[in-house]
Amino acid sequence: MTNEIITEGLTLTLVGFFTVIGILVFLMGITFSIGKVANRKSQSKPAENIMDQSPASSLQDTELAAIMGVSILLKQHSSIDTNNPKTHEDLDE
Amino acid sequence: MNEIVDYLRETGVSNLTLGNAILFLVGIGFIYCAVAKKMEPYVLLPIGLGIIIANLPMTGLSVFDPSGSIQGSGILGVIFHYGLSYWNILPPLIFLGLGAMTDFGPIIANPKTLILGGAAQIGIFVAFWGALSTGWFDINEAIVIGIIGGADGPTTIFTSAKLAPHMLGITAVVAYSYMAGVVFIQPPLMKLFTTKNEREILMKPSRKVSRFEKLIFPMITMVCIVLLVPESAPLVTMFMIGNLFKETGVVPKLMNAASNELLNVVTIFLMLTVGAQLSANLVLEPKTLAILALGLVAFACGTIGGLLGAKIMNLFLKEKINPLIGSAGVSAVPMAARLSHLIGQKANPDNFLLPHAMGPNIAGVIGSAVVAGIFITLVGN
Repeated sequence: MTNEIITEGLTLTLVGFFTVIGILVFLMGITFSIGKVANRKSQSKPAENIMDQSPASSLQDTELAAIMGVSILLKQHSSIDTNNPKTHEDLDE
Repeated sequence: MNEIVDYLRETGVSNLTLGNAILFLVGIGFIYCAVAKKMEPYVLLPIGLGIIIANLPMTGLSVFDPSGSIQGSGILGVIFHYGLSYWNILPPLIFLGLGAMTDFGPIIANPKTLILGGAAQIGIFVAFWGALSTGWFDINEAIVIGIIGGADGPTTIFTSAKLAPHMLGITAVVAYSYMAGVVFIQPPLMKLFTTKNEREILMKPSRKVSRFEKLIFPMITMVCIVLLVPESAPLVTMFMIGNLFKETGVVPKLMNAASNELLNVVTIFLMLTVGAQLSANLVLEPKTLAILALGLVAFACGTIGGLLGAKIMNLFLKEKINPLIGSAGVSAVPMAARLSHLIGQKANPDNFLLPHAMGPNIAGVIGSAVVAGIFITLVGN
């Protein structure tokens, strides 16, 4: 092996190895950060879910659930012709 | 009478050499492994058939005529020229399909495993120096031999086609053969370089990864790698695009096309062509034996690098990792990860290492593509 080949080989090895390790460490850092952001998001989500899936234990919750129930019912029937008497019968049920 | 003698001279039988006969046996060996032993059948069967085709004399199937004369080239010669040595589009297309089949969840859940994918690349550099020290190979050829240690077929083919097209057939076959033989090569090394206590280390189940993380990870990885190592772009971008087809969930037809139809079509072309490069006059020389030996060294050192990398990481970690997952850093997806899992379960039946080992396994694919890109940048231009 000539000195030239050894020098070129060493350059390739050092640049190659440390670049790949550097890139992977950098990606590791970014992935950790993304994970933290995603965790924070998911931690804040359940609070909203609790509101959605309230067991209606208190009077306030019961009222809220009733209002939401009515709004869902109205949403379901929003495309229906309100002048149609059959629609009113359905909603009464 | 003269016409009959001339005709007989032009038949394959009279042009058959001992070398062709030996390569027939090699081809039959590949087909046997694929059909009877079910070892990497999608790879070894077309390669075996390609070897037999390439060694049938007078067919001209693997010939490419650069003058462009009509009917001067064979089908496999044309595919080799345009698909590999000239445009080099087949390996990136394979990466597109692989990306559409890959789940980055294990890496995102445990990003530390990315380092193991880097540690396992040591095999590439050891084999590179081994090849240089023989004095038989120049820098480009030594790089291509080293890349076998990445244990990633498409990356080996991509690098060979760019830096040493004359070695493409043999390096691809050596890479795929060792990948198929991972069950024989890795277990003794895994046992030799880990203690029983280390193999018994239990790893907690990974956390659940959100869709947001799975969408953002390939995009960020692609942009970072391509900005730093543009030469790895053909492999890395295709891999990440395929993965985004899958993770966005809005283009199931594209995902299916990439991971089924496209991947299958490209595999047929690529493997037949690679096999067809193994003609007797190219293979039966001492250099080939050296490539076989150095490929094995590369693969073994990659495995050892991953195992030792995990052991070194354990010196700094509170929650220890099972070093067996380090050996999966040598790509060979998913066989290497499955081996880590099996050996881990043998040591401790409560161990379930597969999801943990998939992290370094996929990191190994990214790592070897990056190393290939760096090498091509430094010597290819």
